[in-house]
Amino acid sequence: MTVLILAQEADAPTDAVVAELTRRDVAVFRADTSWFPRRLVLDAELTGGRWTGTLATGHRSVELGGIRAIWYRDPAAFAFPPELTDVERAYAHREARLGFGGVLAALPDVLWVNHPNRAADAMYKPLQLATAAACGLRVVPTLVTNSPDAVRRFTATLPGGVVHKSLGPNSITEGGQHKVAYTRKFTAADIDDLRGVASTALQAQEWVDKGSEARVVIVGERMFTILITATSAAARMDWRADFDALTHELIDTPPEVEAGVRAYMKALGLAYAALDFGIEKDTGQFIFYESNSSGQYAWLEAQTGAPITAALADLLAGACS
Amino acid sequence: MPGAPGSPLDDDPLSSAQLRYTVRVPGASAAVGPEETRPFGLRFAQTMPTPVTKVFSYCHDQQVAVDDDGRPLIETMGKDWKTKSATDGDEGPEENWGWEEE
Repeated sequence: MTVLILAQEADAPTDAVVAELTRRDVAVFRADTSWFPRRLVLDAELTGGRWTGTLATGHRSVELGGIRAIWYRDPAAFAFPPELTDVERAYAHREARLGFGGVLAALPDVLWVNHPNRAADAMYKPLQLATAAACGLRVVPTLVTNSPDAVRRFTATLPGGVVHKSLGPNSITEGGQHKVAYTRKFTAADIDDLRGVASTALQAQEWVDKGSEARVVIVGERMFTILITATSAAARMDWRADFDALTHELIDTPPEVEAGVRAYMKALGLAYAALDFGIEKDTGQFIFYESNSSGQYAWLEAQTGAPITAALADLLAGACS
Repeated sequence: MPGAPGSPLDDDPLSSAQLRYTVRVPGASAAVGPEETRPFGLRFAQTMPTPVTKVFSYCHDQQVAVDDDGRPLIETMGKDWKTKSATDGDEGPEENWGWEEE
């Protein structure tokens, strides 16, 4: 029985899990989807209604029927021969996605962490917020719009402030520079000049007057809640903006949060996620912001000692026993 | 206008599955667009240092990244996060080999 890990080659958390599984004598086959088709060969045949065959590199192979767990840890895109034309590359990409991905999707009795389609569904932040609320987690008023008038109306009803935050990945490259659009509070000047709101969807959300924030990392049935406290103005607005101004503490998950998080994971069909919360200064209540089904965790493990790598190894190895 | 077939902007516009591909193909352009149409969410985007990834090679026997001597980086790199980067901004700091060397 084997754990298949699909991850990029330079990924420290994956290395740590591979090392832990190897130490436990659990068979591991690690590959990156960018190796397909040139360095990763799929040979799958439908026999008796089941897909059999192998997935192989020049160094090792795995029987498809022996795969019991797949850790889908943000692998890179398929990489095709440079000689392909754009049309050929587009065709090749579709065929690879549907063929390579399709065979893996058809393997029975496999634990996915996470299944890429479940993870893709879970990327929709409006769905995250509605699901979290339905699962008993607290959320704050949120607006998604391309209407400047709607932004004015929404901000006028929330005197404590409103932030805008990206609905998806928020980094771009312009003029050779790497840029990140962090969460930011609307100012009065912004409301007077809402050019660009009509260009696409925008997410605005009531500002949470928070004392700290928390990232809750869920690995199967295990849950690790790390309190993140910011000590700079930039980090208080968005802790991703100033990592040097953060302190971390592993804490117990409040029971009502734990129950809501478990319901959330079940509703979205996820085995792993990192959920971010703000913790209200006055009440101590956890306010759900968002979840990341490929959310990072190793820096939290390093800072707090939370045994997340071991929990992932437990989860993946458990499917093989 | 839809993107070219197979591009990150191709068909299936409402599927988030397509977005998972674009995450790995970050957008890049030569210059900032006109203020009138620049998405509001990008108006205040901050310039960040481009992360530097340590030179490594991948060991197919151990299935981990290794240094020039073949030693796994996780044995020779400290889990200090001084050099961590956050290029995707949404997932916490990236955890490639940006850790400080011990």
